[in-house]
Amino acid sequence: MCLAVPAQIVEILDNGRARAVTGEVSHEVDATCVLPESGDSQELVGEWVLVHVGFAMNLIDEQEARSTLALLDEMIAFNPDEESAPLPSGGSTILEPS
Amino acid sequence: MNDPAGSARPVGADAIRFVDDFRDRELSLALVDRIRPAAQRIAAERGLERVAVMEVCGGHTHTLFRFGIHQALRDVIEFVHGPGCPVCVLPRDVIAQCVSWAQREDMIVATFGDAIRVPGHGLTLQQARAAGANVQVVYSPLEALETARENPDKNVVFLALGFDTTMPSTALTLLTAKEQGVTNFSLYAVHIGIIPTLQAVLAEGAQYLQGLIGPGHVSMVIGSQPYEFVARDYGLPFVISGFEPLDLLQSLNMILAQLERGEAKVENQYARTVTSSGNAAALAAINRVFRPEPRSFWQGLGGQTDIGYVLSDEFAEHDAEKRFGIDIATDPLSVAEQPPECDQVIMGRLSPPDCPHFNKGCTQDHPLGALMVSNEGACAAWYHAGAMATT
Repeated sequence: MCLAVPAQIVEILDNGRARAVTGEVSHEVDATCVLPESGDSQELVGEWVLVHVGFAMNLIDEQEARSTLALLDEMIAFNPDEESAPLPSGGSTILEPS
Repeated sequence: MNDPAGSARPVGADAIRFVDDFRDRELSLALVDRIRPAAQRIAAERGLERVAVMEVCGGHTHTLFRFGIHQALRDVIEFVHGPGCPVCVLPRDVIAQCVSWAQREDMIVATFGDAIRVPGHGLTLQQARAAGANVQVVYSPLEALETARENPDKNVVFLALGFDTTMPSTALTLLTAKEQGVTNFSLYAVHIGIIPTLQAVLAEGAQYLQGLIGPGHVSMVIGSQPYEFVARDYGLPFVISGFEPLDLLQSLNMILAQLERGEAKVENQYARTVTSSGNAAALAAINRVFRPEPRSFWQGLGGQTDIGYVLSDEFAEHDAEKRFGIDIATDPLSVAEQPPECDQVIMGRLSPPDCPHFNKGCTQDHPLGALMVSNEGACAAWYHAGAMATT
């Protein structure tokens, strides 16, 4: 039920709607929940969103996505073999909500 | 703006990046190698057989099985499947009422595909449709609104169900209907809040858990703050997680790291889309359209009733319950229509393969309860995993 799919907004349409693309599939979404505070919906073009039942529910923060992956890489590189080593913190300082 | 479909490389092709990068096999295996000894250490220190972690969301349950995480770690981590399948806790009266409405000439009932195979007191919506009732399966509530526009001589009822993730979409659809004067569109709103649901589950069984994996997409709406009570009142680590295998493995790792440090706090692994305060526009739409109101009965949630919502009075003319009335006899025995074990599974107290009905009287072809029917049901997850293992 809570499935959401990443898509990139490519065009702003009328009435708070936008065209979003996932893979090769282009579809219309309701963008009400991701409209920028500035009110200029054109700022959304190029942004990544998570689409749930036809609604762009939230922006995807690309920088945060990279941070998460980088952290995983670091963690694995940090101590690849020693089974008894304590786990690193899991990066809570980086990943904690701002 | 160029038409993406006409360009050599579709603009959205990179969207897959947010999926594929979080499915990296080597990294996943390395994480499993980290998690296993840590879980063993923690279990040994606490005198446990395994570390018990509840994944609250049914979507997480299916990722754990589909990508083999459950199979790889089940000897050191007990995955306790949570209540996060809204179809599985839906009162049967709701389905029975929708069947009754859909059988009227002048009404159409629209809902998500997940809901149409769930038994009511007799027919499912799917069976009712086969017998001629007006049932429409939609991907989005906006399609139901479109149906109302196209059928001005019929009353269209959208059966609005789901957790906080889905509430903004139905709220915004209703606001559009009101604004545009689509008077033949109504909501039968049986949404359910994740926070009271979690409270019900933890009040019953927190002592059996060492940590929880929090639902990612509910949290993009409500934020991470509402879960603070889990750490504060129950002393359990709670990590909000994304839906790809690396997300779940990292979340497990973060839970184990907290346990090793003797901490209990809310952490956010899914920071690429979840913030502490959630989505303001989505929450505003929810608060405008819905208000919390006890519902008579939710399957399996230990008699907890104060977890549902009704439409605010402002929207009475779009409220299907008020407009068309509840015309089925509410059956107090409806609890008994599915085996009592279903309730224990929903509360995380019984693992599906330990249920006496699992894969015996209860199968995908002949389900006894919604947990075996729904795509997100814990029993369906186990059933599919078993089918894969034997073919």
